[in-house]
Amino acid sequence: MTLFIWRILACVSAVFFVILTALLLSLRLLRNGYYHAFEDDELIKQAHSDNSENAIYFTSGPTRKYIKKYVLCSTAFDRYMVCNFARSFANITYFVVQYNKRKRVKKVLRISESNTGDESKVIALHRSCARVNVIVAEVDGVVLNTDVIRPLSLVRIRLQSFLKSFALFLGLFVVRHAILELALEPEMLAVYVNHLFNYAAIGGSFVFAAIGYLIATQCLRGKNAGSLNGGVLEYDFL
Amino acid sequence: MISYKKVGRFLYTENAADVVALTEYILFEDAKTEARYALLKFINNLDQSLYGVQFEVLQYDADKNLLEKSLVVYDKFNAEAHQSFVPKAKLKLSPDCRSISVHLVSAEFDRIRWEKGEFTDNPYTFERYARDVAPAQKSAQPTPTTAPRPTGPRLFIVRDITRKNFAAFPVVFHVLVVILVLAFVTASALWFRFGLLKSDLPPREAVTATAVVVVPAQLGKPDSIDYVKE
Repeated sequence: MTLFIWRILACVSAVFFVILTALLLSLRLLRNGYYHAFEDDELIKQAHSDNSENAIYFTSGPTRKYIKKYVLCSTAFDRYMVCNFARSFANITYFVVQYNKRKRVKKVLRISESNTGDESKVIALHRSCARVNVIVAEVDGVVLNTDVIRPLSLVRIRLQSFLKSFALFLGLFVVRHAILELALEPEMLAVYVNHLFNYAAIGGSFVFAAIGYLIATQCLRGKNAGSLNGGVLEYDFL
Repeated sequence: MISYKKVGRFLYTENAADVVALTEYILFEDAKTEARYALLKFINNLDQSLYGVQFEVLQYDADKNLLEKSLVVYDKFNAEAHQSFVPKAKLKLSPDCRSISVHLVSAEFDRIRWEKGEFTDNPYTFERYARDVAPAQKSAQPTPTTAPRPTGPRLFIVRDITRKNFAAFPVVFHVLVVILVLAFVTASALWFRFGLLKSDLPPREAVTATAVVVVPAQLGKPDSIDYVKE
């Protein structure tokens, strides 16, 4: 192939690299899904003190049967909450999903308590936490929810890995060509692009990108394997 | 010592569909003063906790003549949803009272208020909770849904289960690949440039005034090119 064709290929690769990178950033294929959408819990009372701001909320949905209210306390440095149980439980496990001001999940806590009184202990929250949702997982041996985070689908994992690996290959192609343009004169470059070295670099990039795809897929599947059976129990033994 | 004489236990079936309905009552009499009292048993028909109730009590004698009509307010208590409850205060009646009739006036639930057949939002205030509900909950009678407070060590385990879908190994691998490929390309290009692969370059053509001659490829500056004279 002539140098002109190689330059066209490099330009096309650069364009596709930018498109793929934009796709990867915009699609956010690896973002977590949740079984419960954000519930805007009813605010009962908000109180401002000298160094903190406290807000009491009613819980929503089935949680209210077990946890009636919770108080969110914000200071200049800390965020924490305390739950008010409907009664004392021998064992209770619940999730605290923390949202920032834009209603995006920042952190998820799984809290297990036994021999509770009417209130939980103080639960430290993320600094940027603005709101929380409380979801009961298990009460005195009765399982209500096993998880709140959905596992990633294999299709999304594979698509993400493919786009990333292909973008890597294209990026390497572009950078390789840019290095050659800078390092070699046009006469030498015309020779180099048809040399074994050039094909070895391109072939190596492709092989490494393919291996990277397999590695990324396996690693992300492994991270999700533990939660593949999670979620809300949506069946009855009838 | 006060002694009471039980007069009778009566089932009450009127207005059973009300949000708070009287199901039965007991009339009893003070043995010494002969004063009559009633102990009422209600049922909370809503799926919300009941915090207060107002009702009219009409007292009748043995001939069903109306003796007295009074408004009774039971407040500062907590009745669970769909549960029967007996207010602690006994209701003093006329000595000639033989039966009563009850009409609900208003009921204050956790989230709503019922009054004369209509529901309205029950604005919740923290002051009310601190003043009325919390003490009432502490002194509330145990119900079947209320388990006894467990005794034993209190465990509290917090686990962060936030899942970051980020795998470090593929990133490290990709960085290594980039470094490896770019190092190979750079090294091979430099090797090419500094004449280590002269034999791979094509012969260069030079033009003189008289003839075209073939010269070997030269690397470096143009000044160093040797022209072959015929």
